[in-house]
Amino acid sequence: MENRTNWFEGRIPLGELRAFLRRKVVPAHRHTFWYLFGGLTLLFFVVQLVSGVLLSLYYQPTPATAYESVARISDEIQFGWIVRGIHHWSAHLLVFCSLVHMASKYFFVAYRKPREGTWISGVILLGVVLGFAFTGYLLPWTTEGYFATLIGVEIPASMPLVGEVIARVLRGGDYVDGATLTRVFSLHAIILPLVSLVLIAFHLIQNQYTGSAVPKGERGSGGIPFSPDFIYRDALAWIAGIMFLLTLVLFFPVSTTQKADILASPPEGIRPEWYFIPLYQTIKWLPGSILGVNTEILINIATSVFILSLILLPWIHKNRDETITGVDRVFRVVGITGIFYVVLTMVIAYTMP
Amino acid sequence: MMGFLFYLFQENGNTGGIPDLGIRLSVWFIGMFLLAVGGAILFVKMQEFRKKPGESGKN
Repeated sequence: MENRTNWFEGRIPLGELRAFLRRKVVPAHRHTFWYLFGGLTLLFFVVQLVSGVLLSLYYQPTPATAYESVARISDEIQFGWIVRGIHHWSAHLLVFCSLVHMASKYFFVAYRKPREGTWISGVILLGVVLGFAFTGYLLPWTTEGYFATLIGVEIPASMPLVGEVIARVLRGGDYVDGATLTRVFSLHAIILPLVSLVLIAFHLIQNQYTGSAVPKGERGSGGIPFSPDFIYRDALAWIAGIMFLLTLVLFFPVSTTQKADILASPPEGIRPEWYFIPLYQTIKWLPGSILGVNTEILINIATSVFILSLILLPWIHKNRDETITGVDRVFRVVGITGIFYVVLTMVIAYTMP
Repeated sequence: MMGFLFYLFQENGNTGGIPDLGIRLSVWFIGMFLLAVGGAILFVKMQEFRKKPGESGKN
């Protein structure tokens, strides 16, 4: 055993890594619980990768075979239904944990110097996670997935100058058809995983270098050693996460619905997945045009401004004081209002269809 | 782990499909029991580790 350790020591700096992990400390304060969502997000991402690789063994990305191959995974392949269920439900949990993780960092004001890089990579990673969700919805080639993609691609299409180009690139032509499915599969299974792996590596390295942020205004009571104390906590959170995932997979198995008919009209009451509801509901509430400007153009501008503001947040809100100031309170109110709006749109969308 | 998953997921006479609620319930109970036992062991280990002063990463 010692020889084996020595063999590695001469090639990989395992001793240095161990020493680094022993030195690494996670801040201890009354909000330490929220740090667990970073680990949970990583867990569900890994679950997505493994289950996605297994599904790709049987999935066929063509309009003639996509639906049938997914139905075969669910109905015929041994343990196929469970792998599909794990992929489906862990995608929901991944989006949920990413949103909670991001919201906690927002309220911690964790984006302040020197953690700008961690914040920006996190914002882009959230976009990538939503990209995974959007592209994954079309892959089974069901009616809901088809029309959700049709509507989803139409939103950027209304942008002036670049809109139509973006839509054509996404569709692979003028319509959502086989070419779109191939592109979406490539995005979902190759491009986005590669991008996300690079971003996750950067995000984690940045986090190791700068350490976890203490919420603004918190003094904290020392630190929790990362190894093994915080690893134990993370592992317990993972076990809880897996328990919840298993419950969803076993009691809400994913069955295959209706195959997409590209010549049919959209079914009544069709709506996107819960994480796109705030955007969908906002479009639904607004009139067709505001002050003579097409609402879709305004929505595109507002979404772009929102994303840009998130990326530039470390410079928009760069108060260096460690005590809570009036500006910090304004940002807190903005965050709470945002969460309230997101919850409100979901409640209304699901209770008043 | 991956090899085991590949083994489970191999094509094997198309014997898959969503099983009855009874089977799913049994799997859920077994899964929850194993995970709870794992979690409890981990929790006990964590508490034991905390009781030992001077070994919590500051050495």
